[in-house]
Amino acid sequence: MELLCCEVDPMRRALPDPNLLYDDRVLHNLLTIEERYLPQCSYFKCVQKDIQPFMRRMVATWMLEVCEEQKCEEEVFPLAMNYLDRFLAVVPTRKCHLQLLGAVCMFLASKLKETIPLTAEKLCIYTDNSIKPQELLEWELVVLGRLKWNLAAITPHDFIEHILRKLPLPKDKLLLIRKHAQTFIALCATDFNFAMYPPSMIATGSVGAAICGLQLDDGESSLSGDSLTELLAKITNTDVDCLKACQEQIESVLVSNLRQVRQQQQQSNPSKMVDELDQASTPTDVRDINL
Amino acid sequence: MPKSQAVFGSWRQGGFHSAVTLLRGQALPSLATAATACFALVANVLVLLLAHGLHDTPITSAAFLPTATTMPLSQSRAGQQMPCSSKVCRNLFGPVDHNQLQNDFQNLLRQQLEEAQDRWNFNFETDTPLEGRFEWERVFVDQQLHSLSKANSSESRSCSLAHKVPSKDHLGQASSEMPQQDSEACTASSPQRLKRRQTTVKDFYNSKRRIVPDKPKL
Repeated sequence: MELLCCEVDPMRRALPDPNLLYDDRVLHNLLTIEERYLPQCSYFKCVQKDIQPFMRRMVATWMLEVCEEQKCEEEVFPLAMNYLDRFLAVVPTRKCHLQLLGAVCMFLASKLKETIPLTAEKLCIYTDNSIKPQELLEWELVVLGRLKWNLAAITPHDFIEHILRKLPLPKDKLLLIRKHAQTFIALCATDFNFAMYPPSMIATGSVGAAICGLQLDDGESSLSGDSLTELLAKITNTDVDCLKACQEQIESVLVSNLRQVRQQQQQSNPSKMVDELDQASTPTDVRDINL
Repeated sequence: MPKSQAVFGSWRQGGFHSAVTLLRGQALPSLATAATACFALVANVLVLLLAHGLHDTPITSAAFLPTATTMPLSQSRAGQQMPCSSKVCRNLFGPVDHNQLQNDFQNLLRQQLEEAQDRWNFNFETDTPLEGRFEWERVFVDQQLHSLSKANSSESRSCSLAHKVPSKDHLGQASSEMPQQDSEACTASSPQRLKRRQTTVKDFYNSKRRIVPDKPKL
């Protein structure tokens, strides 16, 4: 017991840099260059023959689970999905190579963002050893070439702090809002409908959805409904209607996912689920979205 | 382990494992939806945990994923054992044809090499320049330069490295001067140039030292 208490997180983190976060030039530059890193086309229609949208969802879910289990940094998963989408937008790929591609993208994103990156061996084990480390390394070269070695893509995470600091949010809720926004971003990355959206819009929509879901508009009128959307839209120069649509889309994805969970729970052995259904039926913040 | 975490841990594990068993028994398309359902479950768990005031505990979002509860929270990435039994270890799209994979890889790599060859009019496989918008010239690099740049494996390749010389319209003077030096002059003159550079640095240092004791006399 004592041992557990004495252990500290071995990862040393830099403090947030005010020079980067409190300078509007940084936000401005992010907004200027973000479009460069979007996939070139909606590839299911024009490039891919073997791969269907549900397969992207499968590989995305698997990648998210690997990232979560390996405790990767939050940005690794969305960044890996950015690589995956950009590669698939230019190279017709076989279905049976999609998981390898997902692993390669995680491998690259992890190397770019983390102090201790994922190893090729680990990733291969996560594919149930269906691929070899050597293959992973070979395909890394191919993916890098196709991405033109342009790896430092902008992700929605890059915008979160810039948006949050410009909102009149209660300090004690900041951590919670950030956490929810990050979860929404990951949710968006698993859904192909968001793949062509600029990261700033996903970030803004996620923050909006997080604030609405947590119902923080009690005391602050600027945090409710339309005025919040307008405020958010101004921060990232997004069109108000687009942002509204994006936020609604995020919320509906969440709601449909929650509904699926319930259906699955009811269909499968309900005896085991009794406990959880009790827990799940307690009113929670995100559930409030489902008004 | 703190009491609250133990309670949540067991509850989370139960929930997720049944969700996963459900995942495994299904056909492909519904597997995808079930997988997203798991994600939603994660979000749900997250909210519940946060709603119960656990957001003060320093756990990452990964800790909210039920599978992560099979490992101690404090376990470090570096010394982590490979969770081979983990539910995350799975083959999504059936067996991989390794020969086909190798062929596809070779094709893509060849494609990339050809693109690079067209772009730079240079054959990177045989290290030979081709006709095109870039003019390529062989540059002879001596041993000393290599030892200075700390290149470890470059000694065997000295005097054979080919460097790109900008075409005349970019740097007309530079490229017109270069051909005047033959290979011998190139190898002979560069160490001298290096020595001279080092002495100029020393000269500067000496003159500084000379100035400093001078000052008190004035």
